[in-house]
Amino acid sequence: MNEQVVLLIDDEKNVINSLKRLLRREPYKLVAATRPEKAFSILDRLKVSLVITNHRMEGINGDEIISRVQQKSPGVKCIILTGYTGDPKHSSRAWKVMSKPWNDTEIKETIREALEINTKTNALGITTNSEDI
Amino acid sequence: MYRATVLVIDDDENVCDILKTSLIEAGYQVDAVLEPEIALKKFNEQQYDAVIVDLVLPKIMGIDLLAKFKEINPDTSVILVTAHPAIDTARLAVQLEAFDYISKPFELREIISKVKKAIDKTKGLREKREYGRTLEAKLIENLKDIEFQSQALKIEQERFYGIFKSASFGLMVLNGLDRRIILINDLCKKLVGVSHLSEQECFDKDYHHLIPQEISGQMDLLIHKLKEEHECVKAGPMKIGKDSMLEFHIYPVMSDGIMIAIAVMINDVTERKHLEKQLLMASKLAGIGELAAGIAHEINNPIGFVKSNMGTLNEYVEDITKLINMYHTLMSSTESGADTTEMIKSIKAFEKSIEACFLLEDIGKIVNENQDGLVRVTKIVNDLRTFTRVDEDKKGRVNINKVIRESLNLTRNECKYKANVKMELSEVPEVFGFSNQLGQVLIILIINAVQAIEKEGEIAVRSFQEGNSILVEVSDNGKGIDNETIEQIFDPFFTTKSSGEGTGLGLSIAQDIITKHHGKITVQSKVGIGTTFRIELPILPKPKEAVKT
Repeated sequence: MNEQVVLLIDDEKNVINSLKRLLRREPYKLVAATRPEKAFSILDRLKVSLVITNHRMEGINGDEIISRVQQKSPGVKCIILTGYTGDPKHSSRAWKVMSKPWNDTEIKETIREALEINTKTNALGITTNSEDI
Repeated sequence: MYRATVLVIDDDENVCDILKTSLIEAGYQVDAVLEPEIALKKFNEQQYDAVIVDLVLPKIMGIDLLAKFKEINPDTSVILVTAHPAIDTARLAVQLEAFDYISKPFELREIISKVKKAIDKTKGLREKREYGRTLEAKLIENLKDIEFQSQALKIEQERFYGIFKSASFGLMVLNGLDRRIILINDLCKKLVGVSHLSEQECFDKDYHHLIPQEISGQMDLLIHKLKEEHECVKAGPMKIGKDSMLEFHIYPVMSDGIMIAIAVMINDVTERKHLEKQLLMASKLAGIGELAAGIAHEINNPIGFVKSNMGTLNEYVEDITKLINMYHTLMSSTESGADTTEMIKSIKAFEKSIEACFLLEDIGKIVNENQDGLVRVTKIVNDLRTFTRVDEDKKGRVNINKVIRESLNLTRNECKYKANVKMELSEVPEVFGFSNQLGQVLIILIINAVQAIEKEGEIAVRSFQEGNSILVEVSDNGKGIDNETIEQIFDPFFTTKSSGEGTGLGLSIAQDIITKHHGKITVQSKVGIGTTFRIELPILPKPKEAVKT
């Protein structure tokens, strides 16, 4: 079975809980980390198809997380989900930047879209990274 | 060289000659005439220093000639010479102020000696008269001067009176001794509510009888203080009447150590206070602008999960409602005795598909988490309300440590990603002032400290007592401020931040607030090492000046 894994990174436990509830019936597996180190150790052990990360966290921001993620797993798509408004420094490394509070339907569709693109490219045997899309 | 002139009048040619020769020898310039008419003519034409006249002359008595001489030139000394001395003549001569009297026959030596004295006398008299004239001239000049000065004084007085009348502040001058009104201008009358009275009607009146008690009472207090301190005292701005704000300045007018008058200056600051209030509000909004990004983040997180959870909860409720409806159907079927085996099977299947047990358990969690999120949002909004409140801001005793904690709370989100915040608070006495405004200062300093840290750093907030002051320090180990910049940091609208990020008002507002609290704000910084802002606040307020609203 080729079930895809989505990794959630947010230092706010409640945010992770609500996303887990929201995505509980979705056709992929969710793993979550409230600390970046935990997220990196997951990446070492698990093949992840999509990372959704918060932007501002203690000692690290979403951009730095994305660059670490892409070092470990090249080509993995990343979405930044941030409550910070008007921050112009969001990285172009992110496939998408989404705001908190999020729209439930939109976030579900965006994740599906990201995973479908992954499936298609994998099926064609093409390796790519996020910048090319 | 000047030679004294002598006029000799004698009808005896020989006498004339002798006198002339002798006097010329004695060094004088001499005119000797035989005829009284010629003598008079000469006397009219020329000023002589002495005259020798024979008392008995052909056509006129020497004594009459003397009278004429005195009329023409009273200073010239006249010596009478006669062969027939008579008491009456002598008396007359004295009356006519003849200088001397010589009897014939005379000795030349005697004559010369008397002439010399006569000349001296004449000179003396002339000098005196000259001196008198100079004095008189001077006196006239002085009089003119005085007249001019008094004219100038009058103009000056009118000018001052004009200024006094039209001054843009209320001015009242009281007698230093009995405190009665000497002067009051129109604006002052208006401000203290006695516009209907003329200046004359106010003059020499006790102000207590004219002015409303709320103002005169204030003046009493200030004048009492003035008596002790003998320097300007100030009060206000204070609310007078319905919606006026008045500010009082009272100055002593001193002369030789005695207070001869009291000048009371009253300013209508209603408009200014109104503007200041607006400015304060604007500056608070500016401060909020700087906080906004952090606060948005702080609010967006809980709103994000609360909102999403509500959507989820809605789905849960739909599933559970369906389940309950199925139970209802089951109940009615059981009551009617129908076969329910299939129905129970499908209910069980539905329960499994919707994970009913999980849903029931999760509903409780959702409610708890949402409550937590809403409490957080409420708290942020409340903190913000404290920050923006203007009207309810009341002067009072302030626990500065409490203010520090509240400010750190409000800026928690700004700090937490970049800085480790250390609080080093000592037990300190209370200060007197506006807690919200002091909180605003702290927020400004804390945000500045965070912004000075580029990646990660430390912020320390300290409070301690030193003498009669409470000191609050906000330190960071950020990038520091260079010498050129540090000169300007308290200037309004000076900012090193990019536009949109900072208004440049923060520190100027902070300084303004601290000054109003009779305190001081200073800064010390080293590039690459860090910056410390220090606030110094007095434990007790200065009694002289009230803190402004």
